Amino acid sequence: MIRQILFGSRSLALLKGGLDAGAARIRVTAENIAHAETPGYTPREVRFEELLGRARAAGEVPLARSHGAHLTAGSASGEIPRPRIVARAGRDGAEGADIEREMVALQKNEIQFRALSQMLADRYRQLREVIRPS
Amino acid sequence: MNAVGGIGGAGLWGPAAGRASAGPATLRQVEPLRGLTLGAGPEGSAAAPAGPSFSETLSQVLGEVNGLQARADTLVARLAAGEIENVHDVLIAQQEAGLALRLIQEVRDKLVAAYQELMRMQV
Amino acid sequence: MRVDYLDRLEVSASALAAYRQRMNAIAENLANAQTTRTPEGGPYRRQEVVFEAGAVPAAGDAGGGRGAVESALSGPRSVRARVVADTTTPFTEIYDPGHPDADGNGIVRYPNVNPVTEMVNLVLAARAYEANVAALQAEKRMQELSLGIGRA
Repeated sequence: MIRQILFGSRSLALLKGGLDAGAARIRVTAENIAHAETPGYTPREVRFEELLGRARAAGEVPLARSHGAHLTAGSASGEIPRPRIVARAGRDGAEGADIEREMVALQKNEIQFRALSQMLADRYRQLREVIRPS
Repeated sequence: MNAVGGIGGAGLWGPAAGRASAGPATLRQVEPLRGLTLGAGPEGSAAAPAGPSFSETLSQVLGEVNGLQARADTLVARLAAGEIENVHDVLIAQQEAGLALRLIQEVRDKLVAAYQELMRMQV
Repeated sequence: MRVDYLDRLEVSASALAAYRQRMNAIAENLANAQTTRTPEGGPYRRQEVVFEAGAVPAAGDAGGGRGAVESALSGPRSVRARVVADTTTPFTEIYDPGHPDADGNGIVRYPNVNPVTEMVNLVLAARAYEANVAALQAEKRMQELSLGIGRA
């Protein structure tokens, strides 16, 4: 109950999912860069945003409420799909991992991760302040 | 006979009842509230309201806070043991445990204040 | 190599070592581009460093006990480097009967090293090395950002 009240919002669950995806992306990009010249290596990437879109399109499971006056905490976080590492379609082999492209991806993912982690930190700070104003 | 039963004197809460303290000590202080029933009159068994009683809700919440603390502790231990892939998971668990605890500390403080206010009333 | 956040740096670290080996081989090739006689007899033979994927990490719980990320692919692998002799490129043959290493026909065999090729490879290897350094630093900064989630 406390968990649902404090942390049950969908936006919080999205932030966490985004962080998971971001962390995976940085790691996968590092791996692609490391194996840029390893024969037979297929570059990988992380799918997340499109999985989100698919889940939303499929319709959300309504939250059961035992009393009409109870808060709707939004969708449960269990509905946020997990990020997935997949092989990048298209060319494979040594040319498949273009170092320039991976470098750009690295920077983009770091900025994204910074944004998400700061938003999460702000969220916790707000909750702290709401519970006990300093 | 007061309608609020079961709680002893100020010794239970003590002065400066640990705003800074966290964890098991705080939870122990809240424990005695389990016996609290705001019933009407000596029998205390007037028409019971539908849904979980106060003490049931309190028990559940205490259990949750405990659970969140335990989960955070487990993740920290696994971090030290080299079993954590994402550091942010540990941070998130710690934040959630800390905020839940903070919430219940606030509830406790409000309850204590209400109790003391009650005690001060001239009947 | 386990899956925890520190060991994941292994992939980039192994790549750095691999490229360092490649750059060493290139340096050796350049230094010996004119070596017509080696202790083993014959001119210096060009070295190459080939990469291959190393061991897959031991199965472990990924992602704080929640299995944060799904993957049907195998786990991250380190990069392994292997030094091999270039046996396909032929030696350069120069007619120079006065040379101490000339054979019976006055032919001197020079190493199969093309300095221009080596320089290009060196630039590529150095660039790849820097890219792996950048990847390592990005991972490190990401960990630091994670720690900031708890900051007041």
